[in-house]
Amino acid sequence: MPKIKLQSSDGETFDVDVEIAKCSVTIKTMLEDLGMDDEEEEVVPLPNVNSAILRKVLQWATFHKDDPPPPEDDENKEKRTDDISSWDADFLKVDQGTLFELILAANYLDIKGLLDVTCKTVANMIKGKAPEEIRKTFNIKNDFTASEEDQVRKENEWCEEK
Amino acid sequence: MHSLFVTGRLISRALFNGIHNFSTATDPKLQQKTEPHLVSAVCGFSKERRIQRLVKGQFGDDAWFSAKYKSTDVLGVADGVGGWRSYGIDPGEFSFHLMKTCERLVKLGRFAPTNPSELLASSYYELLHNKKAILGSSTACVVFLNRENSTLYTANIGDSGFMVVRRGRVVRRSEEQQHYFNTPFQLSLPPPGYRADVLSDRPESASSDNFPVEDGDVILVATDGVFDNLPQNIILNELIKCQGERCASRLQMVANSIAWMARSLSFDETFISPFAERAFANGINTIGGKPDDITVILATVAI
Amino acid sequence: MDTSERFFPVEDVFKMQYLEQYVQSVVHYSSRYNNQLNYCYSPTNLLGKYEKYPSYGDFPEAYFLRSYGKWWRYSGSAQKEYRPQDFDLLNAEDFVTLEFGSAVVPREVFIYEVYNPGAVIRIWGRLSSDTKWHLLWEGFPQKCAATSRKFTPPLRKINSLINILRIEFNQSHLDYHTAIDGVLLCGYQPRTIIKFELIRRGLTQNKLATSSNSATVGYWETNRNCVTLNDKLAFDYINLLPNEIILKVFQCLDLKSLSRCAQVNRRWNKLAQDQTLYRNISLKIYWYLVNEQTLDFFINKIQNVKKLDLSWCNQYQISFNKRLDYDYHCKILSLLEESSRTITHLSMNDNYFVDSDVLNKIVCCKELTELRLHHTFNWIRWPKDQLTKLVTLDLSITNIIDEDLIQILMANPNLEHLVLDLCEHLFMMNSVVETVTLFNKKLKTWSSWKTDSLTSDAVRKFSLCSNLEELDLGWCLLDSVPGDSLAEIANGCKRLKRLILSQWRGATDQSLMPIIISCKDLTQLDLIGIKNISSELCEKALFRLPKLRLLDISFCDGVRQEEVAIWRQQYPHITIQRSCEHTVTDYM
Repeated sequence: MPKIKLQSSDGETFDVDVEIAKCSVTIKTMLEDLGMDDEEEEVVPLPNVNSAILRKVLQWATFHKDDPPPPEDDENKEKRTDDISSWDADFLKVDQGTLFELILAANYLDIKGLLDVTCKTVANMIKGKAPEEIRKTFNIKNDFTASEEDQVRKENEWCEEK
Repeated sequence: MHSLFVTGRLISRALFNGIHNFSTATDPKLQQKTEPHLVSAVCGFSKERRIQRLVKGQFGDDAWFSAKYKSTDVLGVADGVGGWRSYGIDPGEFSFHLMKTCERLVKLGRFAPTNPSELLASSYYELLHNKKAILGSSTACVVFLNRENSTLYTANIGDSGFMVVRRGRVVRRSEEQQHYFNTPFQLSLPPPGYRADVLSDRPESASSDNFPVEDGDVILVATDGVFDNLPQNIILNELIKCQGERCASRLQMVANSIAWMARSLSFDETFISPFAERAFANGINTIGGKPDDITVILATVAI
Repeated sequence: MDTSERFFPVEDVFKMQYLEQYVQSVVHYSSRYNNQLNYCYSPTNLLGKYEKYPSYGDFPEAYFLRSYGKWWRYSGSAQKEYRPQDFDLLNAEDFVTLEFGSAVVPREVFIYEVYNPGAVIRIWGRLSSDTKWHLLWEGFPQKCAATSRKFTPPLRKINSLINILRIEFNQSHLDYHTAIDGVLLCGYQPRTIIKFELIRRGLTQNKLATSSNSATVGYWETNRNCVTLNDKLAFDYINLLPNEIILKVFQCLDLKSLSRCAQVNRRWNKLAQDQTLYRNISLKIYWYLVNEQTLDFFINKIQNVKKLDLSWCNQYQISFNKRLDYDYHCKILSLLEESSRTITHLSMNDNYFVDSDVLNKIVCCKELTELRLHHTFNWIRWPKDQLTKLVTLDLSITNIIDEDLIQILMANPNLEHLVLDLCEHLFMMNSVVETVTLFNKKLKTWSSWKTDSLTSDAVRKFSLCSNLEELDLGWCLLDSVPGDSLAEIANGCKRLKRLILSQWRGATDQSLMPIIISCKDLTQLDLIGIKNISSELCEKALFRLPKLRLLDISFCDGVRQEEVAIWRQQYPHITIQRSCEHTVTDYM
């Protein structure tokens, strides 16, 4: 099986099957644009992704290599968050730093499936929480003034129990 | 001898089944003015000579019910048209379900207290929309005693009917509705496709009536088995005995005797019954009673 | 939300009277089996004490829900969720709202189920002079034995007075219709007016919490896939993400979570109001919260809305305050006006507020392809102005009249799904069918359950709709003979998948055979109450229709129960319904 070398930002190289690498649309486009021959010993640099994250990405891509291509992005796409497979759920039991790096990597590499499942995971971390709990979870600073906060709360009052 | 024994047992069964008593007059604790209500009794026989299984609410192909809701007392009879037997349809089913549905609607208060023909229409409509197709046809007669205004509201379709007697005189009697001789108006649910061949009168064609009643008035609601076999004066004589009667068991005895007389005369082959007289008037040469199911509901207005 | 407060039930504080009450009136419902004047299977059977319980069976004296199992979901006319992110974990499909004579502090509710129990999933309570709905119980649908059941789930203890119950159902796991015979509400009634007022205003002793657990635990609150991370965060990583990724996360969120996100910080506030998040809006699962302010909130966000679901949003249906009703109604009109340019799907099922003003706004939404107004009864005439792009139209249980319907059909050549169940003001169904054959050639689904002005001539005309896949003509030909109309349909509608011919009492083997021979795609066939069909016909159907999955032969007297038992063994993948096997003989 033809392979390709991917290099992370910290210089580590990974030998990857071309088919698996092509799950990243970015890499796929790069290969097609540069007209790279499969047998050549070319190394594709990925300056935005470090080795730890790239390793995780490749692990995901390898497991999902036989997945059918995701449908075109349209409004009818199912956006429920309760359909994450147990493998993916386990895969994503990581610290927040890693999770968000994975998102950024999936975005940069344009791997739709991974981006979807990581975003859904973050969404599940938000669901059911009150604003203060959300801030705590993600360590977000509250930059509203007191009156702004009050106003924003009033605006969004509709969904709270009366 | 045999028939006496048989009818004796039938009477005792009828007695067992037939006593209906709404009376509160016997309750000594009642101090306030009692509204008019009905004291009633039922008796009847199926046309068959043998003893049939007795089901409450049914005598052969006839059916009856009595019920009350708030200030309305309701009585009703229905006579299933026998001709359906030859189509494989039990004629008693339709009349029985019609009366049972009326009873249920009354008990749940789903009726207009001054409009008995609407009650018939609702019941009929319910039968039409039952998942189990209840086919057949019957006559029907329903009376409401409205206690608030002491008025009797009546609806009659076909040749069952009612009679009201006050102090020895017939105050009101229902009119028979016939298309032609021995073919009364009837509510029917024919099997699909037979609608054109079968007489089917709409509930709206019931004749309605209403009139005020007084204490002691005697009301008879019965199927044509009674009116075809008992001349009016005999019926009148019996009903006079009940004028002002408040005791349910004495009322029961009169109901029993009316039913019993109608029955024996129906099997009498030499008697010139009202049915025979009418047949003669229509050019049919016949004599004797008309064997038929008999249902008698006898009631007195107690104020 | 301090859950450490101990809950003291108010009956321990005041001496109160324990009261048991049956239903006094049925306020609202979403599902009905029969016409309004009929008492068989109707919601009015819930009034007063139960009649048939503990008997088990198909009784007309109980309240029957129209749908069961997943069969109605498979229909082309079924509604797909407009906003999948806002989903109800318990998936409530129908509801019934009941009023009781006296207000009590609820402690027990008994629901008498007499046929296929197990569909009750939620019980809400409310006082008619108040706007707040209390969730008294919720739980998953239950798998039950085939016997009658007195269902009494453990209610949350609250100290508020209620006299209205709303019961929600999910029948999708049931084999056949569910039927309820009665509902009993038990609770404590304050003995004096003063105590009534104290309890109503919540002015009881300080220690009394208003409920035994303060937050309403909605099932859609619990996160099934929640990731709990235990890291000590020194950094807000999430703010490293660019806006389009945060938006991608937000797109997975339900509307309630979005509103919460809007309160987190300024950046999130801005992003949470992004128009792309509000392309599709479904307020059905928030029905108990939706009021005038809610609609206000959404008016600014819906300029580009595509799908809007306002089903069930009737907060003030039991109107104690006409002013609030009026304001809410005005807001609905504004909402429709704002969305009229782009909206393509609109659902206002069971919504009390649909009246002629609302209809006038609806017909201005020229891009509408799907319109659902199931059980909206405060309108009679359709506006003169017409929509022209409709693909799906649901007007079941409405007062639509023939001439208006014909005008709509003539104006919408793309119509594929038409639902007209229980429309009691349609008296010229033959003309309607004729119109459809001329103007709506793309029709795939026709459903007109219990519209009895249909004749066999009209049925014959359906053969011209060659695209027909579903035909629901239940109870339409009660007392006439179908003749060869079914043969014509078999000829013309080769793609027929679903055929409902309940109570076609004049049908015979001969009239039905063409369907069985020709309609090879049939998956569902309903033949309830057809006395004249024989076992041979049923056997042929089971044998010759390769895709058949549901055959309903309840009350078909020509078929013997023993034969059904044999077929059930021979064809285990086909559901054969025989509800008459359960019916206890009446009146004896």
